[in-house]
Amino acid sequence: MTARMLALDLRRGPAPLVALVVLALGGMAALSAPDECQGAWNEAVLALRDSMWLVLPCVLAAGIWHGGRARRRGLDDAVAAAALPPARRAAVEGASLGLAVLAVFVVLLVAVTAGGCTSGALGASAAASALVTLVSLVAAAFVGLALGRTASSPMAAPLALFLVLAVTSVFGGWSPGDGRVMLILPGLGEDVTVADLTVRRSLGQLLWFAGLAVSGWLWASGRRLAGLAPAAAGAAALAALSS
Amino acid sequence: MTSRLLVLHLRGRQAGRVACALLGVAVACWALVVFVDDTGMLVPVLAPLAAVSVLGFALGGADPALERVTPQRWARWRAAELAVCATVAALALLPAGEHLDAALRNLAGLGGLAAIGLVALGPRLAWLVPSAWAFAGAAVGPGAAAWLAPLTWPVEPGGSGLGYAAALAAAGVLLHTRYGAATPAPSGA
Repeated sequence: MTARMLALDLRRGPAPLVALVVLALGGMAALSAPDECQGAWNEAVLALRDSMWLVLPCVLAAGIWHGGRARRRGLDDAVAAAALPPARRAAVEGASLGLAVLAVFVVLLVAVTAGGCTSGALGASAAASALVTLVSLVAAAFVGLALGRTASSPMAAPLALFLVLAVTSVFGGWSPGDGRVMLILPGLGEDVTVADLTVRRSLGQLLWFAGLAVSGWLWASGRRLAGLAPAAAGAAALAALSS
Repeated sequence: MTSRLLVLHLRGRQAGRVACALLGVAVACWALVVFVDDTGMLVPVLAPLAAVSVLGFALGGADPALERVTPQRWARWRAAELAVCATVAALALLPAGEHLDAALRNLAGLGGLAAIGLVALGPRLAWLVPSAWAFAGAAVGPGAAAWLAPLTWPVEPGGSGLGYAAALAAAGVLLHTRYGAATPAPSGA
């Protein structure tokens, strides 16, 4: 049953479009920066993560659009009356976007690899950083879903897209001199090397984004107050591990 | 009668919401110019993109197919709508300061793309076309190879890429004035 719903959602929802957008934007950003590649896995992962300032807001906007679809079409009452639990519906909707993003991320990694960025070993810190990128995208999908459930206006998705894009552009990404607060964004500053991305720091970010994803799922399921707890726990973990 | 029609038309085009959103764009533009040292592509690219995306909602009604069967001269109405929207958006971008020339160029070009998006996808999804174009240009970045110029003109400094912007603006105006907004597909809304 769940697999059939997921297949339907993948086919009828915005997942294929999101996959295409992430593939195009991430690929262009990563492959148009050959200097950052320098023939090593670690730099390839950083180049991919660098493109998140543009890709992440797009995934968030897609989640908002997807989350508000039932209400925009006047189907929210019918959906609410269905026997399907809201948590399961939200999980399927978020999973369809998450799966699309996961598939594209693997394709992008392979594409960057084909570009010659594969020498050297994939270190633990680079692997953890790649995982952070992936989980941040899944978190963006679920948070978008939650926002879409709250604000279903067709204008919500583009406005959120531009707002988040402005925020990520103004604040850039985390650099060693920035302190811990900037680690709440997945982006990285220009002067960051893999050596700065310790496994401990990445683990903190991983927990933060995982908490955000769970919060988004709970919020989209209608458990709004309970939904704040995982994000708070993730923020606490980030603060503790990034010190 | 005409004034009542105008009021109903403005209401149908979500004029209030769109005006509020445009005011937000103008304030954000001003704040970025005043408080941020290096705005990068934010003011010249993102501000006009936000403006044309919001205006896309004002250039089509809830049911464009129903509008077409009414005895109005829609080509004139659409041309007037485009002129008003372009003027209002240009006013919203006035705080762009030194980036004003690039912002106005992008307003024309991305506005043309939004009008093409209206004809192809309908008012609710029109913003996807200029956004995809601008983001693709931003992903490649300014100063790319010459063959990428049709893609990267929104992120180039002001003064270059005017031809592409003008061509897209003309195409958008012609297509929208002639055909109007598409009726959204049931699955797309």
